[in-house]
Order: sequence, then structure tokens, then C-alpha cells
Amino acid sequence: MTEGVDLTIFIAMTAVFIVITLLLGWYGYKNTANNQEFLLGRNKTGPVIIALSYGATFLSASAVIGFGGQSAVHGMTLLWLCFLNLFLGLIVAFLVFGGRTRRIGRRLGASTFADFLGKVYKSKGIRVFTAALILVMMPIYAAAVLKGGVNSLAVITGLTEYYNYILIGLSLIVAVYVVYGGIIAVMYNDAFQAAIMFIGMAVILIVTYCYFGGVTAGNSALENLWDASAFDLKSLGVAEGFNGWTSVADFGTKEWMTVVTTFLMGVGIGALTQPQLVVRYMSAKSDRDLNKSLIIGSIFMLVIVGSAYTVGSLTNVYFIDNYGLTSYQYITSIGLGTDFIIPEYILEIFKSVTFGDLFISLFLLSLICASISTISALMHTIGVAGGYDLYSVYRNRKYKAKGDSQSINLNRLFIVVFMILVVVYCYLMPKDIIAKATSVFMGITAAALLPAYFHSLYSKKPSRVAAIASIAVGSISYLFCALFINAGTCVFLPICQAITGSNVLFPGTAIAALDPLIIALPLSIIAMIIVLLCKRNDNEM
Amino acid sequence: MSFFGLTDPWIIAAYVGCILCVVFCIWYSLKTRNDPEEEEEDD
Repeated sequence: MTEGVDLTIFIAMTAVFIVITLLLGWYGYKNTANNQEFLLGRNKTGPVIIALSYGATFLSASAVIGFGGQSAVHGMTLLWLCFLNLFLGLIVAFLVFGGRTRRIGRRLGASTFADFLGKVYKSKGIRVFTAALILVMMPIYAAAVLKGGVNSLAVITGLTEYYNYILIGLSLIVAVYVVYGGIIAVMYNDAFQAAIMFIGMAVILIVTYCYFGGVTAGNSALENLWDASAFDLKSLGVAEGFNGWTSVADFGTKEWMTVVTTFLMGVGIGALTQPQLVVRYMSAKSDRDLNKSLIIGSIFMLVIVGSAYTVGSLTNVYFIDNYGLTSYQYITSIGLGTDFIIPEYILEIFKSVTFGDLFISLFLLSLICASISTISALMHTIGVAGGYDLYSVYRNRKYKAKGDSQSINLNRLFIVVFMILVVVYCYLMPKDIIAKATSVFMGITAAALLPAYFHSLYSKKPSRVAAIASIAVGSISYLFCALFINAGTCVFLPICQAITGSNVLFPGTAIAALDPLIIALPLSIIAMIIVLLCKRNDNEM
Repeated sequence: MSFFGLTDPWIIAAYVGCILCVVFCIWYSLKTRNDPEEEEEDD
């Protein structure tokens, strides 16, 4: 492991960063007069803030180091995820879902994703289920993001013995500004953090290609690296079907299944139903502002994700040139996981560059920004799912009241309690978990909620029964596939192992690499269509 | 065919697709920048 970063520069930059972050938190606090503003802001957020906030929330440390590390292992096929992030996560999300969500949400007075679905379908059950899904699944995703950021930070700075302090310090900063500043502080901080991420990732891409002698020279070096007879696939961390870092795996093989169904489809489609992103549409002033934000949003996403996946793949050239080992072989040889490939590469390559320490500090700050911009949005979403959605339903039921809870303090209490839970999860989670946890969270929300969400936007008379059927089938089938079919996700809760003695039902086959979403989402859609058809027939009779 | 040193058409297509998405976003934003801001009704 390379020596850590120059701490003087890093600490100075971090101190300035923390001061600005807390000032923006204070700005949010001063501009949050009531619970509505805590949840959605003042409904006049401009396109720049929306674009950067959406991008920074969407792209966490998971995109940079989690999936960046995966691109070092599986190659440039991950660039298809960059395309899906742009196409589904931005274009389809804003043009197909964003405008309608904003308009319908405003008309119904909805303030959260769960509230939106509950009000469209006039169903407390759907609202409670969505809020509960957030409360159960989102802390796992938040913990994966936090753990990824802290791990890299501790390793790169050489401060591994201070891991606990870094973890708690970051959590405290997030908790303070989310608790006090609400969504306004979250979105302004997101925008500030996005700017840092943008500069950091652009510098990394430029320095990488300069190091390899240009774009063509770098890509050619990576292309020429692959010699099927020279590598044992297992030692590379890939499966049968892998064709090198600049080629897509053979169709239908285990490698193809893993990369395409888990990383590409799972995350790409899942981005459409992220509750923390839906709120961004609802806080926009107008559809025109949503459209305007596409320019900055798309450039931001292309630079962050495109850089991470391109650089991730190219790290193989660097590690083979310097150590005779691929990125995966090198990182495992020093006892670390794939999440450390990008940080380790940056630490090494910038040591030979003028102002290298400055750039390493900038990358570290980008990493902190990527982590906390996502975590802050997640914690805000978790807090309001408990303090606003669940409590509103509970209060109305118990006291026969009407309307929604207006208690900011209850939202704040939920944020604090769940922040503590997220920190606890960080200690319980295994390493190399970031990409997997992201995929699971996005997968289950998409399988359970995507058909119901789409139906709520495009149906003249949204059917509650059809939505409930779709949500039930999507959730149950996703959980079944995650626990009994997919070898990657069954590790979260080894029920299949306990029942059958085998970790999954079809071990060693390509099906074991199939992402649960690929089965669960079509089933969820089919369930909705069947119910809608049955209802139509009933009406016609 | 080589595209900046890359030869796999799927990988090249991924890069081209990303660029096209950004171009589309810029085009669409500029096209709708003068749209009226009135609220549309959604049933």
C-alpha cells in the first residue's frame, strides 16, 4: 500500500469544506419556516441547483469507487451503465416522469414519494408500504455509501486507525445539516459538492490519459493487454465469457449475466424509482426549469460516471506496467477489495505528478462529497418517511384526524435515530458491498414501485387494486429471487443455505448470476396488466 | 475499425450513445427554453 496523502493540504481543504457545508446548512435552517419547506423547499428551486443536486444525489461514492472498481474488473462494458444513467436516469426520468410528477404532486399537495403514491391511489396502505420500504431498505444503501466513502478516506490518508472517528465525524456533519436545514440545506450542499466532484473527476480523467500518452494510446494499451491464454479468469475476479477489458462478454455467459443484468439493468432501471430523486422533480418551480436542468445534469453525469468507468478500466494498464498484476490481482494481493482499486490507483499515479498532493486531496474531497451528498438525501428521505408519512397515517388513524403531520421535529428525530442505525450497519457489513447494496436497493424499489408509479402518472383513473397487485408481486418475487436464485444477493440473508444446504437453488449455473430485477419487474408489470384487464372486463359486463 | 484505440463495436456504441444523450439534452433544453410556464392539467 502506498503512503498516505499530505495531511496538511487535505486537512486545510477539508476544514474550508466543512465550514461552507455548515454555512449552507445554516442557510437552509434560516429559510425553513415550516414542515412543508423542510420537505420540499420553497417550490422555486432553479435549474442549476436541481441539476447538480439530482446528479450528486444520484451519483454517490458508489458510482465513483464501487462501480469504478467494478469497471477495473469487468472492463469498459460498464460504459453502458453510463449510457443508461444518462438515458434512463436523466432523459426518461425528467421527460417521462419528472414533469408529470411535479404537476400531479403539486395538485394533490404531495410532499414525498410515498405521499404522492398514497394520494394518487387514495391508499394509506400504499403510502405505508412505500414509507416502510424506504425505512427498511434505504439505511442499508446509506450504510454502503457511507462505508465506501470512509473506507477509502481512511486508507488513502493512511489514517486507518482513526476509522471510527472519520465514520462518526462524517455522519455528524451530515446529521447536523440535514436535521437543521432540511431539503434546502441538502440541495444547496449537493450543488456545492457536485461542483467539487466535477472538478475532481475531470482532473483524474485528464491526468490518466496524459499519463498513458493520449486517449488512443491509453485505450490501445488496454486493448493489447488482453491475451486469453495468459490469464486465469478466476484470478481476475471475472467469470467464464470474459473477453478482456475493452470487449463485451459473450452473450448469455455468467460474466455477461452478472455485468448486464446486475450492474447495467439493475442499477439503470432502478434509478427511475428512487424516492430521494423524485422529490427533486417535486421541488422544481416549473417544467421549463426541469428541462433546463438537463444541460448541466447530462454534462455532469457524463464527466463523473464516464471518467470513473474509463479510468477504472485503464487502471489495469497501470498496475500491469508497474507490478505485473491486473488491478484485481494487485488489490487483492494487498488484502483490499475492488472498492479500493480507484483510490489506490489515484494515490499512486498522482505521486508522480506536479501538485500531486493537491490533486489527491481534491479527489478525497470529491469522494467525501460523493458520499455525503447521497447520504444526506437518503437521510432526509428516511426521516420524512418515518416522521411525515408513517406518523401522518398513524396519527390520523389513532386520533381520527385528517391532513398530514406538520412536525419538523419528528422528522428530525427520525433522521437522528436512523443515522445512528446507519453507523451501526457500517460495522456489520462485509467489504466489497457498495455496488451490490446499491443494486439491491435500486432493484427492489423498481420491482415493487415502477409499474405503480408509471400507472399513477399516465392513467386517467389509476387503479388501486392493480397498483397493490403489482407492488405485492414485484416485492415478493424480487425477495424470492434475491434470496433463492441470485448468488450475489443471497449473502445478505442466507435462508436458502439454511433450508436446502446450497446457497442458491441453481448453483454454478448462469441463472445464479441473473439479477432478481430481470424476473421481478416483468412479473410486477404482468400482475398490473392482468388486474387492469380483469377490471375492464368487469366494467364492460 | 478503430475509435480512439477501441475496436469492439459494443464499447464504441456505449461511448457514442453517451455523447448522443448529452447532445439531446442540450438540444431539448434549448428547444423548450422559451416555453410558457403555465401549469398543465393532468388527468
